[in-house]
Amino acid sequence: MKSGGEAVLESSHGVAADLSSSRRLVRDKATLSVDEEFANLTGSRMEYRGFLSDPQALRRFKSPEGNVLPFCSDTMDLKRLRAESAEKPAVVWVPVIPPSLQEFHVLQKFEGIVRSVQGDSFVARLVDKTNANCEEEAEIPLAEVMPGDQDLVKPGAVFYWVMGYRREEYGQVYRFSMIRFQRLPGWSRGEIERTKEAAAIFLSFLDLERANHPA
Amino acid sequence: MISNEPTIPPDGDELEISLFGPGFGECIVAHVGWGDWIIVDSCIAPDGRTPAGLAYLKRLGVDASTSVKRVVATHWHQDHVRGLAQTVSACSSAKFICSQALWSKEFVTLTDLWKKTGLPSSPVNELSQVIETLARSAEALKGGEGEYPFGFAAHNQCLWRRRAVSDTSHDTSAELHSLSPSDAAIKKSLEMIASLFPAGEILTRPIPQRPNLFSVVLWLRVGDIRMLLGADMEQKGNPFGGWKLIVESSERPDGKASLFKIPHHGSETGEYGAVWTEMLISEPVAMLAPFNLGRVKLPTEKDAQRILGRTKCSFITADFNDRSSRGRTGIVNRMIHRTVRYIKNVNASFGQVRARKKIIPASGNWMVDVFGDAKPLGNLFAGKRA
Repeated sequence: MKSGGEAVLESSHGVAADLSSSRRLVRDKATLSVDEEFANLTGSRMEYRGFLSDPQALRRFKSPEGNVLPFCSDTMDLKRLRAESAEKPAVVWVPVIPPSLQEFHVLQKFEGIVRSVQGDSFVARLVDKTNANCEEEAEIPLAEVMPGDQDLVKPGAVFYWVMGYRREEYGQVYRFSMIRFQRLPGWSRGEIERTKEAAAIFLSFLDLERANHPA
Repeated sequence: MISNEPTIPPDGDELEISLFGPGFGECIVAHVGWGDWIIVDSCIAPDGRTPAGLAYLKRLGVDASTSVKRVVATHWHQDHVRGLAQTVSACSSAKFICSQALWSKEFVTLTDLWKKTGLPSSPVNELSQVIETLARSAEALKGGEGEYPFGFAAHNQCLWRRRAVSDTSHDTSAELHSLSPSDAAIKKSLEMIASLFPAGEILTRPIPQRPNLFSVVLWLRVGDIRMLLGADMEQKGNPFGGWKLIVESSERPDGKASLFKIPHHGSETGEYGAVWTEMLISEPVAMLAPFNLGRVKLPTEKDAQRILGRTKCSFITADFNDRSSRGRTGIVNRMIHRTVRYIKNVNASFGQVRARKKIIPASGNWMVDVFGDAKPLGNLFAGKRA
């Protein structure tokens, strides 16, 4: 379906897909054919821009209560939706995670580096990311680390420790303290080999023989 | 800053060995006479930013860019390299000395791979900056006759030499020798470095395993005065000979040292009896920096007693006072203390042991002063015993 160069998504059954909430929308008037719907598409994906500037579209995409719903997605896979609509009920539900109503008020942040692991705890060097305090060292029980991160606790591992207040949707306030370990992918063999070659070239520019006679 | 920090530089004909150390790290600054200085390793001053050696030279009014002749990295443990890049950069006319392993393809590869990760500072990052600085200096020198910006330490290698100063009849020549690492140790260290970047694993910071075994032990002679700077060389469990290889070497410089920087923070693993009998005079001046990380505290009380049994003239740069962190709001402090078993400032304790001695005549005694938290080793556990 097109309108002044702008496209609006709807299923072949004439029921529009709501992309901004999980609420069902009902198309109010005319239905265009699938061919028309795809007439202006150049690929399997189409771009949605300027939806709210199209008064026709606004009229069509009203909730049952008559509210115009905002549209927030940039791109949609129209072919996939079309295929799904042939098998499923006319209404296409696109799950959208509602914006979190939690608020976080961070009081303190540390960046930590594990120095040693000793039984049920680890010793870490902490750098204060909130204030320019001195470098600190702490012993932290492994129980404070999330189960999914516990395999990462080994000398040299980097983690972040954040603490503060969390305000829930209905106003409850909790203290929170969270330690998360950094995960970085290892180097590939190709990357290591390329770096080795670069290192060899770098060293070839130096006169290492002269370094053998430092006096 | 330490409260009674010294600001008077040594006389031209006065030798000085200053050892700096917080609970984690050490640095030696040596005046070898007539305005020539040497820096060994680097640690951070209590301000948390400045290398202790540079801060000291600045206080004395010494121009590090022209006066420092050698900067030596004995090994690449974090407690010996913090602030090293800044030190090398500031001491622009000094030659940088380290093990050849740090200029290997394996180590340069490691530094480059780590630089790409953007992870927080580590010994590798520090040495990566050092390599870059020196490579630029070497490039600028290319084809020139000037002194090459870096050199390798090895078993019985002369690192620096000064001829006698002409206006005196006394011996005022000076030499700095490295007594280690051996060729076998260098080869092994290359294998160890290569093992630090296995492909396909989740990255952690590279902390080298036991680089103490590859430490650069130094022998300094100024006129007739000799000093042994033991780095972190260990004897126990060292498959490359360690102190035994050094003591038994027929090629090492002759004479006995009157000052000893105790190796490896006074630990039992760094002890080798023949060092005291073959390489040191009776009752030498001994100095050491503590190591205070987690539950590991060196020297132990037993270590201190052993060292004091060797020489009563022993000094340590700092104590083990674990000062809890302060300066945050009450609620933050409470939340921190509910999570941790302890938290403390790393550089809460910091001091300097300074030994001075006239080069002419060389027969006088060492004058030892302590600053900041430094103290005679005999006082380290005195409070505990009382």
